[in-house]
Amino acid sequence: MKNNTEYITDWMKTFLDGQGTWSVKACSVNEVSALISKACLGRGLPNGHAFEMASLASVLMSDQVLMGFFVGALYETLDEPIINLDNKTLTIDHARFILSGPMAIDALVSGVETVVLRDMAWKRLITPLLINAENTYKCFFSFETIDNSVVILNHSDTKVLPDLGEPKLVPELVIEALDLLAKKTYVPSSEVSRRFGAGAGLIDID
Amino acid sequence: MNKIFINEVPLRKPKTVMKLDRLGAMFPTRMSFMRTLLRNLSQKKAIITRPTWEIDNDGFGYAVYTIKIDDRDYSLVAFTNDLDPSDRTDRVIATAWDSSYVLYDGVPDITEISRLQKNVPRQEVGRFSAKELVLSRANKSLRLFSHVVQALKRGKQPDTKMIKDIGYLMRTTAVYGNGKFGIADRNTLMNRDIISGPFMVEMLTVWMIRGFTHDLVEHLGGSKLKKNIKTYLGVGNATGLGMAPFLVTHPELLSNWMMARETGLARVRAIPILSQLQRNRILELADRVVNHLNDWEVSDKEYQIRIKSLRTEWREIGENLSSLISEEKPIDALVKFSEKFSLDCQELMVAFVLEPFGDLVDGLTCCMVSDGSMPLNPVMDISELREFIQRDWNWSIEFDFKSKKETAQFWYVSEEKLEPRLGLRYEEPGSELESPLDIARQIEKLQLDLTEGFSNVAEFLRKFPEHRSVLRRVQVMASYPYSEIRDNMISESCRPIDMLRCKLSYFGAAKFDPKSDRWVRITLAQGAPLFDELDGRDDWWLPVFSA
Repeated sequence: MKNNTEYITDWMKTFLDGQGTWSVKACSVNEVSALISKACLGRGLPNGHAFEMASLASVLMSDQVLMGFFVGALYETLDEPIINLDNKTLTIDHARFILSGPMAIDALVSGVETVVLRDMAWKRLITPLLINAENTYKCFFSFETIDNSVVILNHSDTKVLPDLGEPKLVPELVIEALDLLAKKTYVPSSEVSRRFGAGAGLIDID
Repeated sequence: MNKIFINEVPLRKPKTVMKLDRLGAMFPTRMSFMRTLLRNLSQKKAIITRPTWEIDNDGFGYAVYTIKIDDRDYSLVAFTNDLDPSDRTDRVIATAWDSSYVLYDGVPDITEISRLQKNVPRQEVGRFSAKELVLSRANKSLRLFSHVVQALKRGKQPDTKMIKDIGYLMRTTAVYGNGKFGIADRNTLMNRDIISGPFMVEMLTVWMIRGFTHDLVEHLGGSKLKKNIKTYLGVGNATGLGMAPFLVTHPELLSNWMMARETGLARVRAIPILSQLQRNRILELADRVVNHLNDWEVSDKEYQIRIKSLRTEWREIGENLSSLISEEKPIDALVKFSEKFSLDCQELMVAFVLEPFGDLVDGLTCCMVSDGSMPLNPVMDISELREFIQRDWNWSIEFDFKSKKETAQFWYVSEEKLEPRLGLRYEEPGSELESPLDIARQIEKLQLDLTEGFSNVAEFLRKFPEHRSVLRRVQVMASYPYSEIRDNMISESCRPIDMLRCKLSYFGAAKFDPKSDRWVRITLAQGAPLFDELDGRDDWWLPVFSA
């Protein structure tokens, strides 16, 4: 099996090259949310972060490319973030979306004025992250991209982020990639588990 | 109406109520979901029709039932097919069933029925759309189904002892809602009045399946069942571990369910005095309990001993009932009197005393819904968080997680069917993939890291992101006092059946019939109104067969 980086590099190329011609599947938001949660756990994220990522499902589903970028973020190498709070500005170097995203929202909600995310590879995911946070915490945010890898998040007095629209069909490629990580959380059956599983030994004479 | 002093009797404390063994002793109440649904359907004057009946002489084919609630139609589409007896199993790993169902949002046309026919019998392997609200399947009771058909064919009624002993013609083995396999998300139902409550569409589906099973045996038998028999025939259900983690993964919802019930209990305990009419009603219900308990027989020896003890204890309550309900604050007196008995008896008493007082408790069922998960509050001071842990989580320090006994089991998701299972940590592989249901142990770990030097939750979680989930639970518990099962879910002594019984009692299930400590058979909608009885009849708590 290829390692994560090789897999996702090939995957992303296939995904982007095939834009508009993907096989797609109608999924419920709950289904995608549950799959994201499992995939995050399979990726080794803490349960609480898996929960936060799963809560993005409905906004991510509004744009098929965003779903693909989320897969990219999920597979990228997780460097230890370097975090610095200076006065009212929080700076995170080596910011990886799936770890630093919730930290950035926590910071803004708890009174930090500005969050600077450096080395952020999947900047388009900031929009669904902030929209979800606006819906959750009932306040407004904005962001700007300084160069290729720096994003600055701020509070906003008014709503400036766009509406992303209704959930759309999900590219099968995305489901497969999420499923690959989700499967890492499943435990294969053993003799013991079969013997003690619910309903084991049942003879249906009812 | 009684003068109520609501503040006079406090709610039972979460530390008392939320123990696993007590949850595993719960009974259905008038606030249970099936009961609430049917009461509301009656009030709405819902009408059921059967626009399609394409069932052949062997009982195979499909049928459509439509119920109109307010100005919306919902249709149960039922499919039946010939099932090889060797394929008939309750286990979730089954791949074929005697019958399969979908609750459809609207009335399906022939194209839609054709689409459903290709998918519904395949259940988990099929694919569904947001027009489908619930997906389910059921197997025939081998003992009863053919007996009833044969009796009806001979122009006779079925054997009443068998009706009493079994109580259902078919048994569901799964009832899926909330987006599973592509069906509609729960959010779809948010603004649909009585259907928006917890598990209302699932209960509606089960109740309509029950009506279908009645029609099916009458179709095959060529004559009608007597009404008392039909009324007693509910829907069986076999429930295993898949349902157990729900109570842990939905803390706000669990708290709302418990809070509504406990508030109802506090209200009735505060009743100062009973009228003669109310006393008579209580005596009548107490007799019904006796008969119900006598009808409740199970093959599990330990459970049967519990039922026998309960019968004895209820007899003693019966001997003292008249005098107890003549006292001041009679319901409070009854509840206190039951406290010397088993947990089964205490929880039966709770369900019993709620029953006569619909005017005080039914309105509380509106509070049993939850609009989602409470978000993390990153602003909270760490000192405040510590106070909450000290106040609400004392119970979690009782467990010694260095002991093998307290870590003997682990929850996981099986590769075979993607369903939750419970493994033996020191005997089975896979504990490194444990599902995070070990809440008490997570609290212990959180406390170890909760040292000085952090101002608020946001700052703490930047350093310790692994505590995010359990920290949110601490915050949830501060607002939702009944949100946690106050036991160790990975202990050697954790019995999943207790969680199953708790949840099933909220559904309205009775006659719990455990087949091991991790799966149970029950009956739903036994005694419930039939399709043509949505006329306000709401007196079917702990039903007893009337010959």
